[in-house]
Amino acid sequence: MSLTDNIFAEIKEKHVTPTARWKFVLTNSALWIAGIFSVIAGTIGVSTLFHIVDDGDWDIYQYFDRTFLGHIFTVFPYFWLAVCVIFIFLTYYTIRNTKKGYRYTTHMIVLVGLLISIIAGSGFFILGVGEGVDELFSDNISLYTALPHQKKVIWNHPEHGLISGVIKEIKNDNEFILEDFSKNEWSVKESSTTWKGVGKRDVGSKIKLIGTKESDFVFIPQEIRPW
Amino acid sequence: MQENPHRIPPTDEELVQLTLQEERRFRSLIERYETKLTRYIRRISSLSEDDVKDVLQETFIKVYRNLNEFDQTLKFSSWIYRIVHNETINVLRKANHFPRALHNEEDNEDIEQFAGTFDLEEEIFKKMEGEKVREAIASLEEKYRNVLILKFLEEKSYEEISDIIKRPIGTVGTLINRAKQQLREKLK
Repeated sequence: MSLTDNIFAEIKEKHVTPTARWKFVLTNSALWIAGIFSVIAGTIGVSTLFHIVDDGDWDIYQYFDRTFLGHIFTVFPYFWLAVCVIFIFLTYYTIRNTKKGYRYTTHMIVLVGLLISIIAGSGFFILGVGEGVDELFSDNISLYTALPHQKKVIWNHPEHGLISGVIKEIKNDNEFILEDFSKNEWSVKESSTTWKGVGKRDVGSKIKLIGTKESDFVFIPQEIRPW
Repeated sequence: MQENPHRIPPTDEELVQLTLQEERRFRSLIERYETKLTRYIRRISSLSEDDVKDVLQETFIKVYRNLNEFDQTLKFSSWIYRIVHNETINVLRKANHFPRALHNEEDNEDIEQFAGTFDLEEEIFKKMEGEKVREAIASLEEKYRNVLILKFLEEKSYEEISDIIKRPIGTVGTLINRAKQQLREKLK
């Protein structure tokens, strides 16, 4: 039997038929959609990373007895850096596996992915998407709130003179009650305290305090910053 | 009914469309590529005759099954070469079979032309025997050997090689240059 006869015999015996075109179109479209989703997710990751870096109080390293570099290494938002790297890799993988994805070099795909993520990520950051995502995660995912880059973690070190929370009650001109994010109530006694930024001494205001823990749940702030 | 001898035969791409309408038209595609692909499998592997036939049969079945995946913006020959290339490499890897390429007698003339493309000094070139070139090519890494075979024996363009091995055109150029450099070193 010739090769042609063998092939036709196998086609007949195994009922081989051409796979429907829509299945290939669907697979290719799914890859492109996954690629676009990865770019968007990476962009959100970049904007959140930008927000955390921008919002970080990088000057407070001295209260932790760390060097500036040591502080950056400790509180850097590695989680969001990892999100960006994972989604850039996914973008590369999905685009590379599309029908003509092999025509683009790895450098080109990664570079274009990075550029789009940084440019669009900056736009998202300006629009407040990064801040929104960070808040959404910290309000809903308990594990996320324990990450070292989290403001609530950084500003929950009374022993280092750093606390934060919401003003619950104004006692008088020199004292108010602050409820921290672990639901502890602090009596805050002001004495030559500097209010920085647009921090308001109103009930419900979220603030960060630098000062000294005088005794259990009594705090004397030198500086108060808005949240 | 007699066929008109002046009729232009359908292109590969037209045959794909015709096969999708009529299974029997696949016969023409098989006949068009059987010899070329057999030679190509032999060039990139040292599979036995039976294994070559199996690879070839499996390739054509895959082609038939995936006819709707064929992208009309590609050349059909690039697509079918890609499938046979992958099929051969898969068989070689499964069998942990290290290929010793270029053992076709029919390649002798090609090998000489091939060596001539390397601008080697005449003295050296004169001393060279086909067998030496063959051995030098066979001793190259798989990725280098494959691009050299596609470029100089199968006479494929950079774009076609890019479509066959699914690598960017720039990478194909780099692979060919490196392969030529390595081959020059081996032949000196």
